[in-house]
Amino acid sequence: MLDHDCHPSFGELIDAAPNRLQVPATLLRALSVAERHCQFDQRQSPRIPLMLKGAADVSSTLPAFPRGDIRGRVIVCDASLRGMRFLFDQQLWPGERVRLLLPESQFTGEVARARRLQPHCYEIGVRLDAALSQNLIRQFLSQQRLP
Amino acid sequence: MNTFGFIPVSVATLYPTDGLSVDLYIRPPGCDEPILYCARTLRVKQADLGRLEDSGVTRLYIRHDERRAYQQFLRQHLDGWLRDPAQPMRARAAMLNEVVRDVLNESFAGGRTESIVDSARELGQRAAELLTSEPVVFQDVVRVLHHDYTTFTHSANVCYYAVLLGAMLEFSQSDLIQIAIGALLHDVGKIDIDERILMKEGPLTELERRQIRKHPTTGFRKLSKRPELSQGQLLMAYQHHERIDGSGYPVGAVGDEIHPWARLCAVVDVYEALTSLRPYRQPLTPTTALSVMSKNGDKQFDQEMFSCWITIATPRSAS
Repeated sequence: MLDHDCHPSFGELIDAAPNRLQVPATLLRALSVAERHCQFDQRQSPRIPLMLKGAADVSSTLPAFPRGDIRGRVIVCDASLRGMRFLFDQQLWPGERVRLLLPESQFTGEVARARRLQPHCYEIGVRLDAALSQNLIRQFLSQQRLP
Repeated sequence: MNTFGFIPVSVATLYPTDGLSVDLYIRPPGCDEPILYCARTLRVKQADLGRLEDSGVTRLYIRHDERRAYQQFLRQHLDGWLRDPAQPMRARAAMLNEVVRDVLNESFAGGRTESIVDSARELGQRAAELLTSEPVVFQDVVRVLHHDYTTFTHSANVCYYAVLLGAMLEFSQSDLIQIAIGALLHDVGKIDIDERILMKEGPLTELERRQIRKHPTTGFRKLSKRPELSQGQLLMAYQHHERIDGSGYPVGAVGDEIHPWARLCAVVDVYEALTSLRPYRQPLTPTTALSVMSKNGDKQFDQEMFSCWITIATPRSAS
């Protein structure tokens, strides 16, 4: 199996994940415009705007930032073949390991960048361990819904 | 810097003349090449060195192939000198600086993060202890520093400046030691950048600029697995190009999202860069550098830190 295993019960895990994320509707609307962050975009493949509900597991990987493993709700804003951008309630740091759960799939990767948008809302960019297939991206687009 | 097979050495490091067996050269004004000042068989007198410094000569030269002997001499005397209150601060700072630059040079050239971190931990502590052991006159320290554009020279200078600024801001002694170490490591991400980009004389291309702008993240990632480094030290590497108004990089963090040590590092990092030789320009004078920084200083730098730095770095005659 690949990292992005498909599993029908991920939806339950996502619903059970603590939801501390605070994203005002205005911010959500602004973030749905993919060009907003084009100044930081150095991807080799284009990013596809999405708006998917999910959850993230973050493992404690950096000695200078000790904390227990974290699980929390996320909103995935976009994806490219090798990366995903999502909103999370906590600051993450480059190099931290993340497992992302989406309703029917999961992915692992490493935090590439993160920045605070407002309290309890950070924009996180993750470099995925395995590339997404075009089929999977099409599947995302068909699942797409506002959380 | 290597000038026709010679390297400059600070006159202040030559006072403990016992055991120094290298030829010393001087470069008179207008001469391209250094000429012999004192052969190794003759012992240079302290009075001669004092006269040189009084006349504004702060550097002599040694042959490049004798660098190892000179460094051995410095390291042999370093601990004794740093603890000897009879030696002037300028001489102690000069000796430490020569050792710091040499060790960092070797570590950076080796490219091994472990070795760089180990060197930085040892030397950062010594630098912080020295510069807080007694009141320091900023210009005395500046006189013994080099101002070339190598990453190790820049890192060493940023370390001393960061300690001086941190001390004025009344950070604790243990914080100052950590800040000194963090400052020595703040540009460690640059070891992955092609030297041709770092030394380029003309304007950078967009691709080259992107390479340069990756170094805070690269540095953070290199250091982040080391358990002996603290959050503040990692964030000095990651956030020293962030600006209070969000105009910096890598992520455009604003205000207190930027760690205090990174805000401190930002001030002295810019000052050091402006007052040092660059491939594309001559060094700015301290007054001009502070003036350039002041143009956007209230928006880009922590106000208290920047004000303190102006107090420290403003030439006394102009203040």
